[in-house]
Amino acid sequence: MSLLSSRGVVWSGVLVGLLLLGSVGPVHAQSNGDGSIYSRFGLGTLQDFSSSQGEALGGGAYALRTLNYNPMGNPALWGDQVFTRLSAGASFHRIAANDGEGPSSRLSSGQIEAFQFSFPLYEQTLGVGLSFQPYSQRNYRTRNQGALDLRVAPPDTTNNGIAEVPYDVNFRGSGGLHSFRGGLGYRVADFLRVGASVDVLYGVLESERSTEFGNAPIRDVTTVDKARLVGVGGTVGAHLSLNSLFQSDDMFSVGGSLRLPTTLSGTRVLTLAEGSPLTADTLSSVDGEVSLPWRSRFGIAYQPNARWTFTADGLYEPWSTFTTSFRQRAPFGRQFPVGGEAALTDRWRASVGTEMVPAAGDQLAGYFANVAYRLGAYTERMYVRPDGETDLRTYAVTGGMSLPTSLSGTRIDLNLTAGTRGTTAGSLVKDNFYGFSLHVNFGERWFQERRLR
Amino acid sequence: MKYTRFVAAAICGVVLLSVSACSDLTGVGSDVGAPLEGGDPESFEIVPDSIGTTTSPSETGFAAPARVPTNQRRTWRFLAGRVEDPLAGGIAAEGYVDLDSSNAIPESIQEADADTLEAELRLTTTYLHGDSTSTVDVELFDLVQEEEMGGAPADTTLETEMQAAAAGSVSPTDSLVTLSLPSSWIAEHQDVLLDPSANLEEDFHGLKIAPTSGNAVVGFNYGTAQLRIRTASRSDSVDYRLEKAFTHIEREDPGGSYADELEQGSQVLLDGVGIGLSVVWNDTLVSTSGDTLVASNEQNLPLNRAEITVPVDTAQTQASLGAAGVPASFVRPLPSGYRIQATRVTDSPQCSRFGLFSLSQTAQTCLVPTSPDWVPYAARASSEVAFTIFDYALSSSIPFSSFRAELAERDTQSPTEQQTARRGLPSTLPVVVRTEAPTGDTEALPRVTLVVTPL
Repeated sequence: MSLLSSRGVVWSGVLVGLLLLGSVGPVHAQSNGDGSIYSRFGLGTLQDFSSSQGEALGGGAYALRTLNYNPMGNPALWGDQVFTRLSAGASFHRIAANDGEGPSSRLSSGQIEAFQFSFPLYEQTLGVGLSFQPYSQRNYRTRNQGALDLRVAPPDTTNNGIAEVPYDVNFRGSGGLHSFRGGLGYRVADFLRVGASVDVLYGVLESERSTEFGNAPIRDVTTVDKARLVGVGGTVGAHLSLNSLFQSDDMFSVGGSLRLPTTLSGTRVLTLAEGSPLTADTLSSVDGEVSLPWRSRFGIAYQPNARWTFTADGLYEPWSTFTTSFRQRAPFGRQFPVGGEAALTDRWRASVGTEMVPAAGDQLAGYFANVAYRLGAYTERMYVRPDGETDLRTYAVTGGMSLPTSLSGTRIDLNLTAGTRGTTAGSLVKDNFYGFSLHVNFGERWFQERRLR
Repeated sequence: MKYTRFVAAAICGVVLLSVSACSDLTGVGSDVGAPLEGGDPESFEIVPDSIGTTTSPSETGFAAPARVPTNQRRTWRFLAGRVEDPLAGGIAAEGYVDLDSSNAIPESIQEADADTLEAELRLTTTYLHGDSTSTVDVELFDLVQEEEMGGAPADTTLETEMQAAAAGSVSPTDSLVTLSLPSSWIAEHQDVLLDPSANLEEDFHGLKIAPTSGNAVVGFNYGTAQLRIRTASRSDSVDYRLEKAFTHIEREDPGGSYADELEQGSQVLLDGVGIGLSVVWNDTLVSTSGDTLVASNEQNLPLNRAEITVPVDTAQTQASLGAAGVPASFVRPLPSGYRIQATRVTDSPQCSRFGLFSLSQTAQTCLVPTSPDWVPYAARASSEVAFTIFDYALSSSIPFSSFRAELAERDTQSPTEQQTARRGLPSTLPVVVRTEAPTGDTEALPRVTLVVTPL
């Protein structure tokens, strides 16, 4: 009855998932805590989780075939499935944000990386994939501090009654867009797979400003600019694999996917809450749309033998084509998204990774020989450009271990990431970040007729 | 061991979430890109569009029945005397009392001859405005008819007999004052006062205590005041407590000796006579533009704090006691309370919408609770109601056409909100307020202070 026993793994995954879902409110359904100031711009920080394996390999692995994972980045890979698979993962990130002058902000956040469920309709031929995971995350937090000179007591001979009343203006972003996907992957031939999914994007992007006076008898005021968006899009993917291309028993794969442009419609609401307890009053509500650009993913993977795997991937999104019909209108007093379309630019991302399993498929080898050790790196040009001029880049290294369990299709993955994002040039901010994540990938032959072999 | 896996998994999940609450925040990021939403909190001082005095005589009548809480019976007072105040000039106060029945009249008194009886009004002093060394001479007059005293305003005139029934003098510093009534007065009222079956409430109409000379107005406690009739041997007596009382207050000679020395833009408010300060804010308090508040109905403005303050110039008020001709023994306490009334704009919400009390006589007038901490330096509306009023004003329109601040003497230093909205005890006290600020110092003027956070 160890933690890594089959039932233990199942329950662990379910319990971790329920804990994460149950301990956060509906608006923040997939995250908690504070993150980068850059999530204030655009639609928040974009999330690219495909699988826990891909995450450790630099965040890509769009072309990597595997029986232990069901990568969401490319629906064509869903046709390879043998097991019914349930995956859940959560991560923790720590950021040290500095502007090159004052002390750093140290911010922490936790979030659900994904819930994924998939199963084969026809083993290694036609598979179904379902996932619920963040598309973007808004979790910035910063503040301004000041003081007002107010007469708080009647004047007397020793005191004019005027006191300096300090205040904090806290700015906090929360929420984000979520993606619920469902689709099919089909193996057309031994070397070719195709797939498609329907992607429902929905969520709430909140920007909250709270003016707080501590213990002074002055009412706190909180305004919330909230955009609720929902829309339906789609993703198509293809995958080509060639065996024994450079040497016997090797495998070379090429894969890619394209998420189609998606229009989200919704409502933007400004609320004002005063006093304690805060009761919100709606000041304004407007309807509008945003048009998300297409997103292309492309990757190659090479597996010379059962021990080594190499991946290289790229991603591109032309955010310069983003449009919105939400216009600045009183009393919002600001654009949506923050900075308007001028604060967005085309996004690209490049990553590489490698995986090594010492046992190379030998199930009788020791436990740690069957652990998969992964290493990766990526660089990214962010899609937000807050000052309208300076491109922001992210550089990070990734790594992880995939721990086997007593169930052949089930693994527990521990991933690490560390990197830097942005710059202190101008009035911008540089984030130094690190994080780790825990994933439970459960695979079993559920719903499948057992045959005597 | 059965639950080991659950505990381990739970720990993993909880750790991932709980550690995420460990942020150490600074202002890093506040300058990135487009300015952060809204502005910093700002404070605005808004002086009234018009300030002036209005006269509304104070309600100085009091009747014991249930229209007021019984504890007021213990602290209510009535006044008698005349004072020459350096700020307000000549003020005269006449006290009226009516007696309640007594059901304990000794037989020896009922059957006694009036010549063998003595009668005296026994009064406990609780208030002094004037020269404490002055002796106040008074005359007592019978009222000619039964009068409704409860709630009567101070300018009400009650008819009395032409001939005084008795005369006496009051030493302001005495804690107990006795005014004797002659045997002839006892004989005149013997059938009513000494007959247990008589209807005293209707057949005895009351007495007026009118000053004839002196330089002080003295206040007498209502709850302990009594008429005592006793035998000459003092072996038996009967006491009659008050059923009702009233004080008529009149300003005989406006303009005291210090009036000409008041700084420009000063006004004297006077209790009793009822000179209060009326202030009006026009409906121009809706939004901010730059560093001033301007009229606009298109923008909401988050309000953090609102204060309505009517400062009292205690320095000038007290300085007047040093005017020429004012004796050192002249006593005039600073007010122990203020009251603010607000007149509703037609069709504006009811008083209760703003946490105010209604004046029963007119639904258009609301009573604003005040903060006792600011007495005597200012009449200051309770923060909560001031906030409610101007929060409404910023999102809609000012619900009150005018506010009136007046003196309202209190019997306690820490009245409740409801008590600060009640009428004050009778008094003749004046204070100085500023209606103009020649030096531009708005701190001395009635004003609204708003702290707002621009959207």
